[in-house]
Amino acid sequence: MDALDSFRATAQEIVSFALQRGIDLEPLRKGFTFQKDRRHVDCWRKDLLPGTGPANEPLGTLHYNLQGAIAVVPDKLKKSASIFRGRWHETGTFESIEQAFELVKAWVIDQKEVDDLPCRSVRSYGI
Amino acid sequence: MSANTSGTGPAPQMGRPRIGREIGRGAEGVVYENLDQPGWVVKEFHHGSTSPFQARNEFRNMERARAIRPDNVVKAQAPADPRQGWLVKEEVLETDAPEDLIEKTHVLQDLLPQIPDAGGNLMWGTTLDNPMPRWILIE
Repeated sequence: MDALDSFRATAQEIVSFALQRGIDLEPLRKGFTFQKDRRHVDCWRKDLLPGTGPANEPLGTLHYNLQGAIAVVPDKLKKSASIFRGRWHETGTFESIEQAFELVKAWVIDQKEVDDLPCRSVRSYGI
Repeated sequence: MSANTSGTGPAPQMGRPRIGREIGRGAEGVVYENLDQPGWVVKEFHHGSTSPFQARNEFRNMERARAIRPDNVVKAQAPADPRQGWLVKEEVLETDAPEDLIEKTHVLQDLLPQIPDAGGNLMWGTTLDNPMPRWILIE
């Protein structure tokens, strides 16, 4: 088993789901990463490798790790606006492949600001 | 190091650098500017919801990762007290360089089999003492 099997398979799942919605994500996929301009996001499912998620989490849990340029300070860190440098990073989980698709679309294609991103379970974030 | 704070974060703790604005947050704690050491941040662990030895545990975990990929893991300052409620780590700085996706593949292939939650802790950036843009494990 290659360590990145889960990343590649999940990227393919999202591309296939997007096609059912009439959206072609293939031009944005670079290996297992979805990327456009100064934003990228990786998605994967927890498997038996320790690096794919916390030990107490069910196998198959959908994860994401996104990073990139934003223009507006997210509400969560409004008090830190003075040190905001136009960057954001965030990790979390999804309940479904549909949620994963919606986030990839909003982050990479629509280039939405953080406070306008769709439903997801955020685990960590920072500027 | 001073034990004073700027008044924007938690109460002062003996030996901890002065902290400034919050720059991030996760399940284990809150990350603040380090006002005494440019290029470094202070992670303050949540009380009660993490091990009392979280600073020691996280430091050891990062040292394990650094043994595998020395340039792809932030440095951390060894906790003077294993029960201290914070950890000082390098800050990952932004870069305009395009992400090196081939390097990311190699880093993940090396870290995923051994380092807990590596997939969720990798960032693209630089550090103050190493301006080479690269993928960096932050915890």
